[in-house]
Amino acid sequence: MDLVDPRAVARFRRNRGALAGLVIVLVAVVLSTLAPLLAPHNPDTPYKNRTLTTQGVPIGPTREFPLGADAVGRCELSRVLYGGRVSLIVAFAATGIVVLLGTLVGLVAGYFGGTLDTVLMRGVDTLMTFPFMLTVMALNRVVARPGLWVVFVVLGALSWTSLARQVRAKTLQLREQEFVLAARALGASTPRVLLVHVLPNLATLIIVIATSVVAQMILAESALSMLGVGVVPPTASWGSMLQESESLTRAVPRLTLVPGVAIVLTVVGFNLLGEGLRDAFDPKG
Amino acid sequence: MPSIRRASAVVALALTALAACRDPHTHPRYEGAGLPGPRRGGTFRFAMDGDVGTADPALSADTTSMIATRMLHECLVDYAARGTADVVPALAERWEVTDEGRTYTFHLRPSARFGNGRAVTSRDFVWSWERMLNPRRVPSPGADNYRLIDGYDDLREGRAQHLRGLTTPDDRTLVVRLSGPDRTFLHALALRFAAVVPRESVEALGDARYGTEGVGAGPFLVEHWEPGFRITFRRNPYYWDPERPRVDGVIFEVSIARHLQFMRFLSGELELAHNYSLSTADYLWIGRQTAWRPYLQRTPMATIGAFMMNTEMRPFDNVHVRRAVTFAIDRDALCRARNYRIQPAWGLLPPSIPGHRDALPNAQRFDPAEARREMALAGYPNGYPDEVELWIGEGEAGLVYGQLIQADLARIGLRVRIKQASGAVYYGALGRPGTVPMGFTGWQMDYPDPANFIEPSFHSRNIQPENSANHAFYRNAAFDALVDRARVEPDRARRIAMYQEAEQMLLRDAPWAFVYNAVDLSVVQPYVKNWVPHPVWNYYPGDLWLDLPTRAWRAARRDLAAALGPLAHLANPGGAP
Repeated sequence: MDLVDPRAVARFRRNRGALAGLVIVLVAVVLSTLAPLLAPHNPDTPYKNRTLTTQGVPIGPTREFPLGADAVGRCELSRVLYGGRVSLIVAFAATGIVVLLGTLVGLVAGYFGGTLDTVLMRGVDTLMTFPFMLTVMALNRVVARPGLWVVFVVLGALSWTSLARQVRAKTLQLREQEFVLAARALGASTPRVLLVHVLPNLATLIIVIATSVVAQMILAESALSMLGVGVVPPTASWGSMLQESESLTRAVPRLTLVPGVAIVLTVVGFNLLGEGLRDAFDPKG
Repeated sequence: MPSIRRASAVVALALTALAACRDPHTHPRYEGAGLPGPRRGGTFRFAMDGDVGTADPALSADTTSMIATRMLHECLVDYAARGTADVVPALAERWEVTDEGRTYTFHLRPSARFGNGRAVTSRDFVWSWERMLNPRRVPSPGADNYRLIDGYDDLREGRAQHLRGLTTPDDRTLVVRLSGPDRTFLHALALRFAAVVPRESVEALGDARYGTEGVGAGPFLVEHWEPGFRITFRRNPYYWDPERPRVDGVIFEVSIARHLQFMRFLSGELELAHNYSLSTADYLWIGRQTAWRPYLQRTPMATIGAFMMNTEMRPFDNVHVRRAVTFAIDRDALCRARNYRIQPAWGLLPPSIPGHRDALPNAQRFDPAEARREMALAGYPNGYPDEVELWIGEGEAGLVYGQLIQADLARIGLRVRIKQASGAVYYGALGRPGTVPMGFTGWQMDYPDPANFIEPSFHSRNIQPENSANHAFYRNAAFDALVDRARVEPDRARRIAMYQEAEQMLLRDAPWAFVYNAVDLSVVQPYVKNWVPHPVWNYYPGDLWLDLPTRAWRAARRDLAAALGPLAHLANPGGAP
């Protein structure tokens, strides 16, 4: 069967919002990936007297520092580019965990049903009660060498529950359909039925949800870094840039605007893309 | 035609919006009336973001509580307001030191009275000190300052009910006998731990309530104490000094967020916006307002900021690595990144502390080449192989210092990993052996004497399994012996020279990289006169006076404009308030 319905592609291409989302996402990914080539300076080097005035105020945009300097005297443009890498890596890694766990649990629970379903879904309910901000902050205090991995492992491990529920609901529908019954009647093994017949029909659902999960994860990473959990100084992430700009916000609003605009644009981009994909694949929904 | 009408409407709207957006507090709302001399009267209002837990002089130890405690309580002697590090008479009008520095005889003023009108006698001091030093009465954090009073150990350990070293020949004479000479003893007596408290008030209220409701012999009395909100003080009519305080009352608001303090100051609801209330952005903003600038005061404070290196942990057990760090730190860049709200330090003793030298021999300095040479001497010409933890407290300043120093040290081949910890965790870790290899530390003085900078942080007596005050775990027998000799040296000049020699040892052994001296930046309303932050008591308002506040004409005109609203722009099209 054809994974990508040509009618869906046509619907997507007619959707201006979706296209805008795609462009924003592509630009963000390309800029972050090419940060080492594009960044004019080392993002962690303070340039001291060249970037801080005699009053200690970070300089504004110049030819050498296109977005000016931050409170420590580092190149703001280089930091926002490198910061994007961190934010996107965390978001993609956490989303990967979400997709893996959510699909597995949802698929198994929905297809087998019965006691297994009850046990798994009550587990999901329990997990949904964990406040992830607090959990990440607590874990970060406990582990010996806190860092990025804590953030995305915990974000991923606590955020797959809603995907699992939706995958389970869709699987419940699919397992009653004729082509699944036919496959089973023909003697296909359970793994084969799941992987060859059920999973491909879940693909669009998963892609759509995963896209908006990426947006959520970018926000979550920024919020955590803003609270001082997550990246270790001097590594830049959009959230840590926001945090470091806080005391200077009223004096040098640029320092808050730059990472703030980056976060808003990227999140909006992923959300537009996610909604566009949903409309394209599932016009009725 | 319609388009012109629409355009003018847009312009009018934009003008109104602009007027509404303009920062309303570029000028003080009130000015002084210009009275010639100190006036008595008025209420001084200020705020802190912390709370006053207790103003019981035996217990109060944090910055915020100490301001309130100073207002309520009086000692035999006091620290001079500024310019000299000496102690000055307070409840004692004079004293004699005899027996080679072992016996102090104090003569109380006839005018010494408590806030309830009763005369202060020498027996009140005996009772107050025995209360403070008896661990079964109140657990005073300051008791150790008085360990040389004869009989201290017996009282502490419950073998005696009274302090043997105190005698009272008559109501106005107090004799203190020490078990050994101590040249810092007068300084210790000016600490509020040694304040006199009226027995009848303490016994009537109980120790706990005395801390918030009791009277002392200080310049002010508590009129109303609203916990976590504000404390209202009024002048103590029985205070020994007829000249002071000059204000009738003080309103001390507590637990007020920093920026809120600043906003309330600008709108004329507080008389003082101090170092703790001015955020970086507020400081930069007010520095640009020409009308405010004359009232912004920059006062160097006797506080040293430093990075300590744990001499028991690798790689800082090697003196060359420690010396390399002292050469690697670009102190001017650090001060610049903090808007010069601090100034570079190259040695331990801050300006204004006896023994400080502007041209300090062997001063620490920024010299990357020398730093690399020391790294090579240490055996790491290509850098130290492992990552080292650098601890900083939470907050913007720590993060700025930490990241700048991280970059400085990377340049000499020392990779550091920044670890941030909250206040209690941070200080707990600093005082535990083998825990913090390198960390931000410093010293805010208790009293203006070099001993106070040298002993707590570097004497090996202050190394303990928990809560060591010697964060670098620095041990040097020659240093200890020198400092112990200095404490009992009767000749002032020789004593100071000994502390300078001790400072030289610290420069050679480099347990700390000295980085900055603090500067107090405060701004007061134009009608506040003779305002200087006290070197020990910070924002204690004992010496200032208030000129008659008069509504500033600019403020009056702006208020008129606000009342008229958009109409004001018809009368005043330029929009200048």
